Amino acid sequence: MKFRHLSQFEKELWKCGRCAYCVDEEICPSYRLIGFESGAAKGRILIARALLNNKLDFSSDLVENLNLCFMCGACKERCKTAAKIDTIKIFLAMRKESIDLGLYPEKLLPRYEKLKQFGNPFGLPKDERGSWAEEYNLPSKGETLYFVGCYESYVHSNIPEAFIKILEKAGITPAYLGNDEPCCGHLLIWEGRLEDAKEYAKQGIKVIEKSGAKRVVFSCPACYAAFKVEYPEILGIKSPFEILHATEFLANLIEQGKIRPEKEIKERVTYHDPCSLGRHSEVYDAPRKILRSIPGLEVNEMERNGRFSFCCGSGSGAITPILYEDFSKKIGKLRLEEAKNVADVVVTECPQCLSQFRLVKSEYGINVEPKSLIILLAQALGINIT
Amino acid sequence: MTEEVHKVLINIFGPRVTNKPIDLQAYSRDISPARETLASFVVKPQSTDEISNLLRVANKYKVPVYVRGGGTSHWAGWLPVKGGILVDMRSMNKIIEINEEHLTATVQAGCTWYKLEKELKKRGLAYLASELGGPSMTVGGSIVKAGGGPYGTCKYGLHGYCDVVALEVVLPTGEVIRTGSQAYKNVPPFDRFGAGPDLTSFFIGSEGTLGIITEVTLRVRPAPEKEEYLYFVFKNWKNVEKVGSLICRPFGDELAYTFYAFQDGADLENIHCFIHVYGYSSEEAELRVKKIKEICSRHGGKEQDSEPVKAMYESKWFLTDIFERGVWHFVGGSVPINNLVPFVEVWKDIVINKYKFLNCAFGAWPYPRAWLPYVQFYYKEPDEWDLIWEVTDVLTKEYVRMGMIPYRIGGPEGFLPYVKPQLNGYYEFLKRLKKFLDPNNILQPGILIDQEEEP
Repeated sequence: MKFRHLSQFEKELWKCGRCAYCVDEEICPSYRLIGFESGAAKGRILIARALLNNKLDFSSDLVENLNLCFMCGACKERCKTAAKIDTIKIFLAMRKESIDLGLYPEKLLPRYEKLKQFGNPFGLPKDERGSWAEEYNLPSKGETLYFVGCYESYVHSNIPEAFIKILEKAGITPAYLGNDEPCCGHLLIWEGRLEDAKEYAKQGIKVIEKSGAKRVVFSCPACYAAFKVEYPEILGIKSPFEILHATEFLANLIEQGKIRPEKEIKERVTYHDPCSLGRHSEVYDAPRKILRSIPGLEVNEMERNGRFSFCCGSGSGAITPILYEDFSKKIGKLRLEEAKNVADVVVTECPQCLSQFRLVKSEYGINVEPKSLIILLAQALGINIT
Repeated sequence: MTEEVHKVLINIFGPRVTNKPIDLQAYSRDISPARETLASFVVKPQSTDEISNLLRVANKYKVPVYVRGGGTSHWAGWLPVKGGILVDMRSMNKIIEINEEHLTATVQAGCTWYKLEKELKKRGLAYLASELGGPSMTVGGSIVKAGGGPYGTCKYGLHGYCDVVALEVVLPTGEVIRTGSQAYKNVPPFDRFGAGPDLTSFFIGSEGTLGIITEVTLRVRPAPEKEEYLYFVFKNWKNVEKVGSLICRPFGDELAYTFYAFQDGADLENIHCFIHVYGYSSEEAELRVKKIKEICSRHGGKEQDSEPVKAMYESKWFLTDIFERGVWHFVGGSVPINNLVPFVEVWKDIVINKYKFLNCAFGAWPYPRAWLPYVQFYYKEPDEWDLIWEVTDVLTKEYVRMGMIPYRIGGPEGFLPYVKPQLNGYYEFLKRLKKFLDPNNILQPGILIDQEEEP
């Protein structure tokens, strides 16, 4: 059948009443960049219908258009009050069609190859994955497992270090898979490589089950969303273990009085909801609870927050920064400037968002400091970490 | 010639012009069931000068130009039935000035009501006659069709009733004019009347055929200090008609701000009335509430918990579950304040009894000495497309024959075919004006004036 992925959504496509709730440059980074309604969900739905009705060719223009979608989910959130269309799934189906048609962007291939060869998208040695944890002697088996993910293992390893040190304060030693921890494969989902992603999902679940874990804690929200939301769906199974994001786990520890942030931190901060933790996984309160527990902090919300937080410009699967770096930075600049309006420090708990904000800060000289929430909490607990 | 036009458009708009098939497809429909219609180009102007240049080019090459705001018309109000250039006004979205002494807000025509309201709120001000068309609805789009929703209409009427102070308009041949007091050099837009006749009114409701509105100055008001919500259920429309008339009777000082009555096609027992009241003091609001309650009770209204009313008005930009029962089509317009009931009866006869189309609702809201009744259809595309055309064709014919003035006219798949036979010499006069202002008939051809009869 022509457009085998997209045709599964035919009924869904006709639910759109063209109310244009989603056509809003304040919430949709793609529409903001493209400028025409083809950049917003309403336009893409009309395009998808035309594809199915053979009124439109699947052109290279369309591939570019689809990859300029950050998959941030703001349109889906708006549509919840209208037609309740799962816009993101439709756009993903269109990306899958582009793969079937051989229109996959070549610039994404090196990352894919690295992932296949090295087990991480950076092409870094597999046996260095667990280097950050060498001094902590973490067991490989246990009821509570900490899943770190590629980004934090190789690029932001101060975050897992901070997390482990916080848990030490609560008397908790989690299990950790070390070099055997696989990539979650989250980015493959967003590239539209569903079959590959399924293999990563099965492998990830198998390795975790083998560790005997009853609950798994993720600090990377992309890995968290993959295991909590995406894999049960694509594999059609219920997760065999409990899944928690580190912010949920830590907020619980604070609530139970097992950790007490007592060191005053006199900073004016704002919280940026990562798309994968917020809209994709619906974790909004836990990070804010942690911020509220830290003495001395002035916490100000940006105008766009929570369900309608604006994307950092990296997007799900970090595709746009690879294909359209300038566009990606433009969006990051808008978000960082918004943060600067209300704070000196923008706190988040996503390694992708952090990298993006640091890049944008140095590129445009925006005077606001990106910071990991876990590291901020560690500092409030008197842990010496930067 | 198309390539030549494209080059000229690129000179004017740079990257803000497109002729990519995917982009054109994204602009192929409004909210109505009208079929897909494609332009050859879409442009997104950012200034009045760009629009002026565009219209000069369109005249030179005799290319049709269509204009839209948020694109949410439900009467085929901008669909490019003759192809050509579609102007998407949403990049002209600046708030130019909010003057807290004149009580005016001047905005570019593509500014959304949603954006304007947020800015006014920061200053303790409000524009009190808005529609319920969602966050994409633009100020220019509403003014050009003299629109009005249930919100605030009871007191302030449709847009243009009194709250449009002045306009900046690019005429079809490219000249720019300013109406109201700003017709005079260096005079701000503080008054609707400038020199000679009220040409602000001339463009309100013109459906984009007589010029492109680029700037709008609106009357704003201090935000009310006290708001109250009331919910009454009635058993017959005769009483609702009477209640609406009485609430609006203190002309200029109507008791309610909003009065919105509706009945579901699947429940012909109950008529739900959502009422919104405000005052500049608690005492004023309480007095209005007391009088409204008396009127409603005297006419058989049963008071309900007002929470759903409050919830609806508080979420007016993002009404929930709007397509739960299907996508939308509307048939409606204006009738005199004492002539609502016959339209209810015809809805029941045609839609409910003849076609058994229960997935619909009849709604109405009063505005000063008039009602705006409408039937809202919920239907499934593409399966019910033919049915919806048939039912609404029969209903519209009857409503127009009965004297309903459709809320706007639009194109061949809007109300135009129904309205034209009902118009008298006024239509001929309109065509003469159109010919005078737009000698090449480049602006919105096929909208408001029939393609067959175009000057």
